[in-house]
Order: sequence, then structure tokens, then C-alpha cells
Amino acid sequence: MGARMRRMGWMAVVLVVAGCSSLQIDTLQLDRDAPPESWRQSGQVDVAIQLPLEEVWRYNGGAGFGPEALMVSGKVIFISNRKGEVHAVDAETGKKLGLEEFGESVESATMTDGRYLYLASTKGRRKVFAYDMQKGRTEWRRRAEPSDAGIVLHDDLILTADLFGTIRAHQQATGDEVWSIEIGSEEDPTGVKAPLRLTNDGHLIATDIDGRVYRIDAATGNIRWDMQVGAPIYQAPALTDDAVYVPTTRGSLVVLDAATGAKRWHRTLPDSTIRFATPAAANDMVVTATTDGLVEAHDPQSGVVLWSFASPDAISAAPLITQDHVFVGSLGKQLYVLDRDTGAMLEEHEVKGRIKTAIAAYDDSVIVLCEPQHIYRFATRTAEEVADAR
Amino acid sequence: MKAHRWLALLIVAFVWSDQAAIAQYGLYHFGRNKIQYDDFDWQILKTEHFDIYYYPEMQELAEYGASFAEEVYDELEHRFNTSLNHRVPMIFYASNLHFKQTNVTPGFIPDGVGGFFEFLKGRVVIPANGNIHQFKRVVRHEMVHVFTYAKVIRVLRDHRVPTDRFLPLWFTEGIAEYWSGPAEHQHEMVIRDALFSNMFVPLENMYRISGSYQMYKQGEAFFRFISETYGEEKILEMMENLWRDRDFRRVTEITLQEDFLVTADRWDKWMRKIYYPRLQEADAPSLIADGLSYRGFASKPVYYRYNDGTRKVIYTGNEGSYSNVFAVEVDTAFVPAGKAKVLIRGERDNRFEAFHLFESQMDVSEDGKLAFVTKSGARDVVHVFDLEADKMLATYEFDDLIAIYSPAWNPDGTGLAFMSIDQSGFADLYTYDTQTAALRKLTDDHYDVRDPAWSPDGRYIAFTSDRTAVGHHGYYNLFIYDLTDGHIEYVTYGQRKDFAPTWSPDGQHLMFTSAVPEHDGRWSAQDIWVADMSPPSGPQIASTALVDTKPVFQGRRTLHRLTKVTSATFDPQWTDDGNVIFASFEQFRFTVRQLDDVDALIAAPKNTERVDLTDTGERWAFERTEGEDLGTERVRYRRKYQLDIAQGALSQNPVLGTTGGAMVAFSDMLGDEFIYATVFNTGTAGNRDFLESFSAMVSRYHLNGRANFGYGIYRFGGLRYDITDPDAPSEFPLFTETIWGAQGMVSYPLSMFRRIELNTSLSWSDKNIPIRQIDRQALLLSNSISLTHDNALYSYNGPIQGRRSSFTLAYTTDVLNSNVSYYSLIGDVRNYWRIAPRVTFASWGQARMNFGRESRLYVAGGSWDLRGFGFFDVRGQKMWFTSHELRFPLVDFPGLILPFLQPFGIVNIKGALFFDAAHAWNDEYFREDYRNAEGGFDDAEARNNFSRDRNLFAGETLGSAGVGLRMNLFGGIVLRYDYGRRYRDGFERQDKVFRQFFFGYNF
Repeated sequence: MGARMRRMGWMAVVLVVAGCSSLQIDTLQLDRDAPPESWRQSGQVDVAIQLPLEEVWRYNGGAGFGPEALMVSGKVIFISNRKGEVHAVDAETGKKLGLEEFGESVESATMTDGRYLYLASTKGRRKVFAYDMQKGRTEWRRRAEPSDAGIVLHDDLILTADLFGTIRAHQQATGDEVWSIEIGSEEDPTGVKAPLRLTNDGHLIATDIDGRVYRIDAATGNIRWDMQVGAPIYQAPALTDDAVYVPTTRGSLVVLDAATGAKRWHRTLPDSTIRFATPAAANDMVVTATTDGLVEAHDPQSGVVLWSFASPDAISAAPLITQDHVFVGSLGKQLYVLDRDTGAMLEEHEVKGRIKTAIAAYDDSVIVLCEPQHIYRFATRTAEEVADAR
Repeated sequence: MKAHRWLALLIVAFVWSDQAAIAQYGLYHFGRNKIQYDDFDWQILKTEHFDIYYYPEMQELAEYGASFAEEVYDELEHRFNTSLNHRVPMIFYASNLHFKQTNVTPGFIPDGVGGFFEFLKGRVVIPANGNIHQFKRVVRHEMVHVFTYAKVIRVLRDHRVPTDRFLPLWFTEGIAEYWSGPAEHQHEMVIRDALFSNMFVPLENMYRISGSYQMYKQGEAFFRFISETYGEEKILEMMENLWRDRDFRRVTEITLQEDFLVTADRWDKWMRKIYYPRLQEADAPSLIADGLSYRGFASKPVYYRYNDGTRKVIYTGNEGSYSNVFAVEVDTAFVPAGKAKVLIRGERDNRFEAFHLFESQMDVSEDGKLAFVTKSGARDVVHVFDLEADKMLATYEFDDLIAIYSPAWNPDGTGLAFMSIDQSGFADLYTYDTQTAALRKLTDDHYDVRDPAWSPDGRYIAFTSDRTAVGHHGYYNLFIYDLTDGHIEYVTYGQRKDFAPTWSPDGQHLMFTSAVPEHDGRWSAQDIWVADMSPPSGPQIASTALVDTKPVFQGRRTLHRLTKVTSATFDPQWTDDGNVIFASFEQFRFTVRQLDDVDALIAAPKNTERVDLTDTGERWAFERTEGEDLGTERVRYRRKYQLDIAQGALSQNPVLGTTGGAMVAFSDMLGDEFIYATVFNTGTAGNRDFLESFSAMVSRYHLNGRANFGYGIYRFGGLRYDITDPDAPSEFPLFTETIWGAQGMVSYPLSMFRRIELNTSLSWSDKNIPIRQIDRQALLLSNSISLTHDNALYSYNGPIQGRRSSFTLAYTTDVLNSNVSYYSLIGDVRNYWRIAPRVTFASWGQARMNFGRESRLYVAGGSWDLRGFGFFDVRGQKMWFTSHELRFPLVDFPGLILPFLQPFGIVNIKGALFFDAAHAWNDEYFREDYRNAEGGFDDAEARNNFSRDRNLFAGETLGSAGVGLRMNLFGGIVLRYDYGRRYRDGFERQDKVFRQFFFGYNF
């Protein structure tokens, strides 16, 4: 009897410990129609965000974040962290909807098709996951090399790239490998650090740490073109319909023709130690930010500087372009709101830590991730909200 | 359970006795003194990211430093892709001698330390050394540490990985060197020597050179390899991948995508491919020049021919021991005629506290007066030693000059030229007339000057300086100062590192050392060169660079390279016999050597260069942060306490209850004042009132003056385990006592090696020992005075040479009830005779005596003193103890024989033969249980045992003898194993054989 009681006690402890986390959520809240991350390809979102901004809520994300740790789908924000957790947060209230652990660190954003959550982990035995959010369980998982580059969805495929230079396509339903290519070799190894991008016509844009950019047919894995930009690429490029904006770690940004890979123009700074963040690109402008704190808007065709803003702090997070504003997060713990037309600073907000993660938009608000583990939503409060707050 | 309780009791006993009443307990400790000679008026210059701590005399230097720090901050933000969340406290000192006084670290700072980064408060501490370029480089080096630490900690915390792992030391120092700027010529010297001497340490064995200068330079070379082979980004990636694995090899493999040993092999090949071709045309110094010194470090040679014709080469060195000035007699062929003899004994007293071994030259006048510099107390002094009379002649000290380097005689031996750094932190050239005591400042600017040499005609002083147009990149050229009109002229010019000029006896040549950039940008070895000092050929055009120059020597000058060595030469001296005496670096040793026939060398130089002195460009100047228009703010430093450390411990036991405590320490930014607070509770039995067993102590220490003082209050209560209490049961000395009190202490250093300590305490004691029916209250006043001396020289396992001694007189009395009244006398002398270079005979004599009412017991026994007996088993109010040990080497580098030992960093295994003896006795400490019912004794043995407490080994002479092994792990933990036999009854009775294993340094 005593032994049985002890066993039951242990089981209760195991259940309590094991059952604490789940990512079973109401998937009706997710946006099943629109690709959830189309804004991420360019860093531009076509919404009007009213000023002044105020902090609406703050959420504890549990650990630090990679450069693209955020995905917004419908009314749910998915945050992946460097402890290997994925949090689902109600975008309206900032309340936790669910939490699940995957591997030991998830460096980049997750993706969803409205029911399943797909992600790649950078450490752990299994590193590619499909998680059924309706059932709250892992649908399938696959062994793979560590990946910082995240996941891209295309038709029924999920596309990943790893730190050792292999790009793979898996079936969304089963996880079976459809194709894979090695962009490095034993004699000349390379790897993919920067998150992947997908063009509107179904091509994957991948970059490697040796400075080469690849356009790959997502369906077949055939490389359409590749181009050496002359410096390592550790941050994701930004895409528009006709251009690829490639940030490098050595003081240069190179703009390639999306169709051919030909170089259009480049921005090279005198100090080659400066690193470019992932730029934000719209049809009429591309915004770059660098570790010397300089934010510049360029003409996308010519590269001519339209305006510039000098932050006192280094910047490594991708900016966000909205209808009227450019949002920039700095390592000096500041969120800057700039006028889209002039670059004039309209607002600045101090957050708890360095902003190292791309800023996202949700509805009429912006979502900001910062060290050590915070997620903020900033928005203009309505009169009713202000009254409620009082 | 029991272990917990004993541990808690021991901790309590230790804290209690060590902190509360030093006088009463007769405690003392050795160690040298870190003396705060100067009372700095600290100011803070607040820039965008830094708080720069400086004193007004060095404000300009602080402004340079602030500019350098802000400049490198911006650069490192890019390199590390991060920023700092805090302001960086950066503390500057005007010279190394001021730097040695810092309280930021309790440790002693030797010559040559360029600065350090401290983790607790994130402080950066940097001294100037007269060279602004070097100052900037050190600022960069330390800032790399600051960023590395911030980056790595952030990475680990982001991933919720414990921060108990960090990068290996070779990585952090290597990257700090690499990102400090282009490799210096010293880097080339070390790397070339390591490769050419086959002492280059593979990547997988870098731990073997941990902490050494070679480690710094190999680390720097490794990152140059990484950058050029894999890309600079990989360096940061290694830091960002640290969370992935505890094993840094694995981190490297993940980052570089190849096996660690493959990387190690590639680096090795990369290095050899670069450097081995250079070996074809270079000579090892030992192959071209005969050695004059054979042991340890030897450098800065000078030469003198005595009136009786004796020739001697004099140099500073250490022969693996204290640094001294040595003299070795040589014959006409400059072959040593015997062993080198010590001329000046250094590092043992305040007068010759330290030589600047790597930095300061010596000089001998025509009439045999040796001039040299030592640190002596607060500043450097110039000593003059008469070689003919073999005695000290004079010592010159200058109030305003802090550091002094390289004194050089004028031709008639009445004046000295030297370089000095004053309170401003800038180096200038001075002359001093020994006849009139007139000190003259020849230069007054921000440029570095070094190595003055007076021309044979007395008109010029040659020196080396970075006042050249390319000086801000760290280049040094030679100059001459014309004493007739104060003009300064170029002797050499260009991207060179020219040092240590010395005139030929006829004044027609200047010999010097130089390193020059080679075809691939790397520095050459540092070779001996000669400049022709006859007026140069070519057009005589006035330089536009130096407003204080005149055109006499302008033009083109021919320089002859006399040697092409594998590593480096230093400080050449031109003898009147036409030989060259110099120091060389080879196989990681500095050795004094001589070259024959300098005229022949000049006639057939290795190569010749023509330097163009007609267009020397603008003088350089660094930017500096000044004025509030740059956003800076100046405030006076006010002490604010900040938390240093907080820690606690708690043990929970179902029977004994809860025992625990906590300690917090606060100090100010400069480490001048400390507050310690300790609380603990020994309410272990559960039936004891919590407050009754509550103990607390608060103390404050002031370290910012020459005299350090402290004071505090304390309250101790509850169970106490005290083996020194005479009233406590000898077998299990546990009782309860409550003490309230206050204490004060002053420590006044007479010199670095000697100090006086005063301690006082006043405490109310309520002691209760139920088993002996003792319930005693006393108001205890305890005072002591100690004189302590320590100049011992340490090696891996403990002292190897020198002497340590301490003498203490103390008196403790109950001023209220006279329950307690006793005197304490303690004498402790330890001598370390170095009877051979690697063999030491250590002797320790100790006498301790407490006499009077309730006088405490002294303890002995255990691996620390009386070996073979249990820890603290020997107790008595009076005790003598002696120990003698012969320490000798057994095996060097045992890891070569037993490879599994390699990771433990064991440099050697030493042996020991030891002999210990002690005797403890008590006046009135009897074992009442040996009396019979009538109060008498049943037999003689009972009578004997009555006064000889067998539990305490009192009343008999005890001893032990045996052999032992010593080895040091990781450069810090000494393992000791002793095997011997112990003796009792005055060595008349052999007792048991014992084996003891313990950690700790030799006595």
C-alpha cells in the first residue's frame, strides 16, 4: 500500500511538472487566409499607426530572443525564445494563451498555416517540428543540423536552412524530406545564419556566411542564380518585388536585382567594422540601420539618401516601415518613431533592455521585443481605454 | 547531521575569533604591505559612456583617456554587435607607482602590468607609463574585456544557461590584444622565439601557458589566423555559441565547422608558413654572441674596467630568485672569469624595493660610479654605487618626480640625465647636477622620451621618442638634444621602433636597437643598428616638423644593421675595447651576451638604410575630451558604498533545527572603504531561543591612507565550539557564551615588508559551561601590538627564500570583575635558505605563551605544523614549536611522462624531508578526574596524568620526521602528502607511522 502511494505521489509530481506547458489554443483566432509573415519579407506593413504611442501591455517572454523571434497571426502573437520555448500571447490583452518547449533554443520565428506551428530549433536532438495547436501535441519532428535561419512555408512545403549550409524542403504534412541542397563543400564549408526569405513568385532567398546570395526555386530546390556580395551575411535580406537588399557585417549593403541577381547599387561605409541590420524596404524607400546608430532612407532605385537619423545608440534590429512612420529599436533601450517622409524623430520610448529583434505590427500597434525577456505592445489608447485605465 | 553541526560550529568559531577579538586570541598573519603613500584628490570626468576617475594633476591625461575610451566604445559596438547597459568606471593613474597603490584589487601589482578589468563593479584600472600610444592601446585592451564580459554574460542569460562558464583565458586575453590594434614588435619577438625555439604551444595545450605573456601573444596570433582564414565574424560567433557547450573545444568546432584538432593543425601550419622562411636569413642570438649570464633573467648590461684592469659586466637579473644587480668578471676576450656575484641585493628592503627590470637602464661613469634606479617607498630614486670602493655613495630622490628611468652619466661623472614621469603622467627628459643639486627639465610636452645617452663631448643627449611625425602609431625614432641651445634634432626618422641609443667612445656613431616593418607589414626582429653621427650627406634643409629643431643634422643619414637575429636584442653597450655588450631574448630568457669587433660589423652590415630627414612632416597630436561643450561633466568624487558580494548559507536538520547565516560586503568605487556585515544563527537544537543564538557583526575598514584602520561592533550568542577556551572540556569544548562588544584596529606599514599592528576590543562576555558548573561574566578589554616582517619569495608550492617573522604582545583583562587577566607573548620566525638554485632549507621557530587568569590555549597539530598529530590535538597555554624542511625538486613537467597529468597544469613535483617538534604545557590546567575521592592520587601515573592532559598532548615534547611530496595544480592548489613517524616523550618513544594528505602552501 505504502509503495503504491509512493508511486502515485511520484506520478503526481511528474504530471505536475510535465503538464505545465501546452500550446493548445483556439486556432480560430489565427489568420488562415493571409500568409502571416508577408510583412517580414520586406519589413514594411501597410497600416496606419496613430501617435502618440503608449505601452498597452508588457509580457514576460521567459528568455532572450533572436533577431526574428516574433510571428503575428490573427490575434495571436507567437514568440520563440532562446530557452527553446514558444509562447502564444493574446495580442489584445497580452495574456498568455499557451507555452511549449522545443529543443534548447529557438533562434528565429515560427510559422503557422492556421493549425500547425512549424519551427526549427538550434539545439536539441530533434530540430524541426510541426506542432498541432488544436490538439496541443507535436505532429512530427525531424532530426536536423542546428538552424538559426527559421522556417519558410511554401505551398505544402516547409523550407529550412542550417548552420552547416544545407537547405531542405520537407512535406508539411509528414516532415518527409522533398529535396535538399548543399551550398558549401567539405573543402569550403559555409553556413546559413540569416533567416530565409520567400519571394512572391515562390523562390527562396538564402544567404550564407561567406557572402553569397542564392535564389532557389522553392518547389524543386534548383538554384536560379547566386551572387557574391563580398562580405559575410549574418542578417536577413529584405525583399521587394524586384530587389533584394542584402545587409553585411562589413559596412556595406548590397542591392541585387531579384530576377537576375545583378548588383544594382550598394551603400558602403568608410568603417568596415560596422554591421548593417536587416533593412526595411517599401516601393518608394528602403530604410537601413547600422551599429553606428545611423538610420538612412534611400531611394530604392538609385540608393540616394533621402533622409537620415542619427541615433546615439547602436542599432541591430530590423526597422519597420508603416504608412506614416518608421519604427527603429536600438541597443540603447529606445524605440524611436520617425517620420516616414523626413526622418524626423516624433517619439521615443524607453524599454527595459536592448532591442535586438525585428519590430512587428499588429493592427494599429507595434510589438517590440527587448532584453532580457520583455515583449511590449505600444498603441494609441482610445479615450475609453484611457478612462478604463483610470 | 553531525557533520553539519560541526561545520557550522567551526565556521562560527572561525568568524568569531578572527574578526572579533584578534588581540584576545593571539592571531597574526604574514604578508607584505600594499601602502597608500599618496592622498589623491579624486575627480570624475563624466563622458557619454564613461565615468573617468582621475586626480587634478593628471587631468590632461584623463582627457586623452576619455577620448580613447569613447572612440573604442563606438568601434567595439560594431565588433561585438552590442552595447553596454551601464556606464563604465575607468580609473586612471599617472604612473605605475601610483597604480601599485590602488585598492580596487587587494593584490600586489608588479611592474609591467598595463591595467586590469575587475568583474565585481566592472571597473577598468589603467596607469600611464609616459607613452600615450601605449596608454590608448591599454584602454582598448581593457575595453575589449568589458565588452567580452558583457556579451558573453548576455548570451548565457539569453539562453538561460548558468553563467558559471566562460571563455578560456587565452581567448579573452588574445582577443583583447588582437582588437587593441596592429601587432606590436614585442608580439613578433615572442612569436618568432616560440616558433624558432620550438616552444610554440599548440592550440589544444594552451592551458599550459595560461597567464603567461606567451599566452597573450599566441592568443593574439590565433585570432589573426581566425580572422584571415575564416573571417573576423567567427570570433564573435564563438562568443555567441558559448551557450551551446561547456567544452570550449566543442564551441570552436560548431563555429568553425571542423574538428578542433584540425583547426589547431591549420593554425600551426599557418604560423610556420609565415615565419619559417624568415629563419633562413636569421641567426639565433646564441649562435652569434657568447653568453655572459647563464641563469634566470639578465638584462640592462653595462661595462666597467676597474683601475686595476679588472673588467666587469654589470647587469640586473634574478637567477630565478630576487632581482639583484650582478657583476661578472670577464677576461680580455670577454669570457666570464667566474660566477656572477651579487653587487646590490634587491627586493628585500625598502631601499631597493624593486628594479624596473624591463624598463630602466643603468650607467657607469668614467670613474666607476654605477647609477641605477629602484622603487623606494612612494617613488623611484636614483642610487649611485662606487664600484671601485664597493659601497653606496648617494641616493637622489625628487619630490615632484614619481617614476624615474634610465639614468645616464655625463662625461665627467657630475651630472645625470634620465627620463621621469611626474604627477601629470607625462614623460620628460631631465638632467641633475650632482654637485649643485640642480634639477633641470629639458622637455615639457606629451611625447614619450626614453633611454638618454650623453655624448662623449658632453654637448648632446641622445634619446628615443615618439615625438616623430608618425609617433601616434607607436613608432619611435632617435633624437639628440643639444644642451647648448636646447634644440632637438632627428637622428632617425620613419616607421621604425628605435630604442636604447649608446654612443661610440669617439662619439662618431650611435648604436641602438630597432625593429622595422617587413614586406608583409609584420615587424622585424629587434636588431642592433648603428647610425653614423658625422654630419649627414645631402641637402641641409630645416625640418618643418619640429619648431625647436635646427638644420645642423638634417639631411640623409645612413643606418647600418649589424645583426639579423631570430627574436630580439636589447640595450647595446659599446665598450672601449670595441665589443658590444647587449641583452637578447631567446628561448623565453633574457641573457647578456657580447659581440666582438664592432668595427668589422659596421664594415659589413647585414643591410644599410638611408633615412631622409629633410621632410619629417607635422608633429602628431591625439584628440582629447575637454570642456563641457563635448557633453562632459566634472564632479568631485564622493564615496558611495555599493554592494560587492552577498551570500548566505542555510542548513536544515530535523533534529538540530536550522543553522545559517549571510554575509554582505560593500565598498566604494575606489576600494578605499569597506563595510562587512555578517549575521548567523546557531539555534540548532530547536529548543533554543532564536534571538539567543543570533550573532551579528558589522565592521568598517578604511584603506585610503598609509595607516589602515577599522572598527566594528559585534554580538555573538549561542553554542560555541572553542578549543582554545581553558574552561571548556578538552574532549568536546562546546559551551554557550554571549558576547557583546566593539573592536578597533590599526595597521601601519613601515615599509612594504614591515608593519606595526594595534588591536583593541572591549566586550561583555557571559559564559556558561554546565558540565563544569562555570557561569562567568566578564567585561573583557583586550589590547595587542604586533611587529610583522615578510620579504619571503614564493614559488609554486610556497616560500623559497627570505624571512618572515612576527612578534606580538597582548594583554586581556576583565575590567569589571577581574575574572580574566592574562598576558600573551608570541614570537614566530621563519627563514628560507636557498642552498641551491632549486633547493630550499626552511626553518620555523615559534614560541607562544599566555599567562594569567583564564589564559587561553594555543593549538598545534595537523599538516600545517606538527605533522602526524591530529588537527589542533596539541593544546597548551605555553608552547614552543619548530619545524625544518628540506625542499628539493623531484620531477619537472610530470605531464610529459604521464600525459594524463597534463590537464592539471602540474609544473613540477617537489620532495621534502621534514622534522617537527613541539612542546605544550599548562600551569593550572589539571585533569580533576585523576584525583581520588579524597582529593589525592592513587598512584604516580595518576599524579602524572593530573598535570599531563593526555587528550591535549600537554606536558611532553612531541615530534615527527618523514618525507613528503608537493605539487601545485592549476597554478593555485598545492597538494601535500607526508609520510613519517611521530615521536613522543621527548623523542624517547617512537609512536605510530602516519600518512597525511592535505591542501595548502608550505609554511
